[in-house]
Amino acid sequence: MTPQTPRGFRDHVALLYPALMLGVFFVVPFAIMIAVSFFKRNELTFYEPAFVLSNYARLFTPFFGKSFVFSILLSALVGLLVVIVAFPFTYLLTRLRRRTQVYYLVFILSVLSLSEVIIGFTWSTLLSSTAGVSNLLVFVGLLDQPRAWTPSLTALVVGLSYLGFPYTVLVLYPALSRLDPELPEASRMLGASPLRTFFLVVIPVMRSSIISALIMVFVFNLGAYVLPQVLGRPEHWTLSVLITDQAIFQSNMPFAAAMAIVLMILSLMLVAVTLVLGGARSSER
Amino acid sequence: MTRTWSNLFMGLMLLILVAPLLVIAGVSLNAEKQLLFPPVGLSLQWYGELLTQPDWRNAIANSLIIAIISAVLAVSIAFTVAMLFTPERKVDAIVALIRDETVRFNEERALKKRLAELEARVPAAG
Repeated sequence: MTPQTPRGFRDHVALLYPALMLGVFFVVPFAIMIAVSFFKRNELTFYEPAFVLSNYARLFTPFFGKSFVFSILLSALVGLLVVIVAFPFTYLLTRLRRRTQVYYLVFILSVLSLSEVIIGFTWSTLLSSTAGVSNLLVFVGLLDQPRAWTPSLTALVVGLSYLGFPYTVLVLYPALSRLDPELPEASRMLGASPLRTFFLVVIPVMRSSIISALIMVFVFNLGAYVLPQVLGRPEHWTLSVLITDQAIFQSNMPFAAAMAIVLMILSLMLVAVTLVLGGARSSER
Repeated sequence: MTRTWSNLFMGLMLLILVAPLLVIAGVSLNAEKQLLFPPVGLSLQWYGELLTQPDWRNAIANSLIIAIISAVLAVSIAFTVAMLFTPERKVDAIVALIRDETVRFNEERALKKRLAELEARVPAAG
């Protein structure tokens, strides 16, 4: 059954709703941001209309260059870690009894409802030397004395991973629960071990879902701006922290807008590369 | 063997996921007005304040209202946009898709009815 192409105004009426909504809530604010990125800063009114490139020129300094590279590498690393952990978790989850799955999903949703601020606070507690996990390790005898693991890059990676994990599970869950159970069963019947089945059947079949989950966590992590300040040292502050700082505390809207746009372009480029690499592998087979 | 490992993995993940929730639950019982963990003194006063003070009740109501409105808006927009793509991932209008679906549904319904009729005949024949 081929869909008939819609003709005339009547058939397109339904499109007005998303078009209008996206226009009002996405296109207009985005256009304003692009315009502001070329404006000049003004102490009194935040910015005044102009066409200057100085906001962009300021980005090409070692300080901001380093921050760009760090933010993108950090988000990519966390994205990779989260998907590596969340994928087997979700796969095992979909193999449980239906009722147990529902409990797990409700629990995952409750973790999802924690805000960045709360996640930052709890992990700085859990990784602290006074009330943290290291006290448990001392009690068991693995450590001589409690250690403070925060602020550090590791703490930041842990916090960001915790933030991204429930999203990733919820993105992977629909695809994995629709996976035909006959595929792993066939693999098992032909004599493959469960691990071999997982790596050689489940992962290749789910490749496009894995790539979209990777991209989603990556983009999601780029936006985190509380966790780097709570769990990281100043040198671990990501671009989102700097954007917030410029926009709210330095009230330099044009520069903040320029940073946001460059960050978006860079991350879109990385997403494109990921998609091309993922697609290239599929055409090989 | 593999089963044990996967249970161990799921258990460990649950433990990691639940740890921050336990910390938050513990802190909420603090008697002091500070973010202290483990809690100093036990009291339910913060829960009482949350439910009785108009400021906090107002904030709870606002959170719920905003969450509901934004969920309805976001899902309705995303849903209509998602309908713009055919199963072959070609851009198509929502109308064409709905039309196609209804035709397909009708065909499926007719097919199921025919199947039921045939099945009803089988035991009689056999």
